[in-house]
Amino acid sequence: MWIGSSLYWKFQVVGWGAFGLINILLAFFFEKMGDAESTKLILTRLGIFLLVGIVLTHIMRAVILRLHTLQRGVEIQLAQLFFISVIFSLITATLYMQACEYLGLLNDGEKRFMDNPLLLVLNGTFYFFINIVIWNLIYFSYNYVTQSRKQQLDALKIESLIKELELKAMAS
Amino acid sequence: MRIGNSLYWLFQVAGWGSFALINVIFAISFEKMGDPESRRLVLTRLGIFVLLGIVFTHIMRAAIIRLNTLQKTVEKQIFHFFFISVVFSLITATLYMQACQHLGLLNDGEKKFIDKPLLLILSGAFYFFINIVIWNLIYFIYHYVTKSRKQQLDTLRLESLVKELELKTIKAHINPHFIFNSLNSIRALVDENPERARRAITELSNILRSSMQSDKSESAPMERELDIVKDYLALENMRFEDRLKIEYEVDEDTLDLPVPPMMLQTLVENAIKHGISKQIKGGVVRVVSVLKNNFHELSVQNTGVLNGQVNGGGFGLSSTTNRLNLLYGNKAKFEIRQVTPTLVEARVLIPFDADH
Repeated sequence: MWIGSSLYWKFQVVGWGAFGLINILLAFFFEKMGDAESTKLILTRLGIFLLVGIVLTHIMRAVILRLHTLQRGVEIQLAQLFFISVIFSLITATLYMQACEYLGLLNDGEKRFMDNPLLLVLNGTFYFFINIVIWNLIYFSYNYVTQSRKQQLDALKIESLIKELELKAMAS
Repeated sequence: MRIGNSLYWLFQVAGWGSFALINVIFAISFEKMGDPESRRLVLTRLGIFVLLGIVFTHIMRAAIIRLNTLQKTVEKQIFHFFFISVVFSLITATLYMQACQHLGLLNDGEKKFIDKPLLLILSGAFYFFINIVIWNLIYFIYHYVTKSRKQQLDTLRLESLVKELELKTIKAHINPHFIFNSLNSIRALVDENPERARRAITELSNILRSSMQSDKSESAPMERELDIVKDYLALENMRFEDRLKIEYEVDEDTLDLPVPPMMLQTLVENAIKHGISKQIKGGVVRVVSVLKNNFHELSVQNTGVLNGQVNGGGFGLSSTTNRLNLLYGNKAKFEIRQVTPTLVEARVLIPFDADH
């Protein structure tokens, strides 16, 4: 349960992989990877972003499972989804920005705000929040679809049981 | 349908509104709105982005409805949503970039690539794609939640129908053997005691009428059930004569209480079949109906030993358990036990405040 099924990891790798690929393509086309130094900067930052993203969304999934979020009413699910997304975006952005600062990977725009680390974290939080919200929405959609399919099956089973009982009632 | 309900617009305004708000806060925090010119640039670009976002997601919704996407299988839905998201991201990004270029709102980074409009559109399409995917996921989940709630209601309705049908199917019926035995006894009485035979026919017809009526209701007053049992035991008395002694201990307060129809008769029939009929000297059947600790206690005691009674219990005992479960869940209790070495008791406890 904690480790996750192979389908879950397929989703993780495909999702974050596609995100990484699009970022590399856009950086390449916008000539942000012209020299070795900027290529290293962009790829390392992207690598940290993906690593922190994968690890923290995996921990987030464990929290969702532990809190039994999917078993609760829709309103509580929404509140927990929002709350969990905000908390994990803040944690992830803090780790990301700390790592970038520690490894000297801040870009020019960010260097100007080095004396205001909260602002940098909040900025990172916004971008992580978008990714984490998408992650959570896909996770919830997947579970809703699975649950709905099960419900459809149950309803069909009950319908067949009703027909059987109606037949028995007629026969008796 | 095309215009959308008020909840839909609430979602649209709240979603795009919070997106705009966060962007404005960040622009202020990162000093991107220091002078009037850059403020105009940031706010106009944001305004165009949000306006295009609202208009095109609304058109996209119309396309989703027209294509009946939500009624298709999940795999097709995912494919549709992905395809629609890509197409609408490209359209919106093209219009956005055209508008920015036309109004002179391109930033320094974009101006460098003004001779590569496709690249600019693709870059814009990526950011629109993220927003449109979130929009679509929320739209998709909203409809799934609504559908799932409806399904849950339908399933509950079906489950209650199953309970009702199960009750109908397992309702106790008069054992055909009993009718056969009674008719034989009555035949023997016709010549030797015509008066008793006439009474016996009335008793049998009362039981048959009650059995037919019991099909129509889930519960019956205790008093009526007791009358059936009295008629039933009177008929059995013809067969067993001195071998069968009958005793009643009935609290008058229990006479109006509802009980499952024909259940008491099943228990008494069980006591005769597995208890009295196996005793050479016969025995006692005692029917008890009292109130005890918020429960209506119904018990039938008979002379005999438990083993045969449980093993051969069959339909009578299992149907009693099932009926009580269906009617009262786990609030009601049913047990059959050896009270003394020669006395067996079948006891039913029905919750006094049961909703019936």
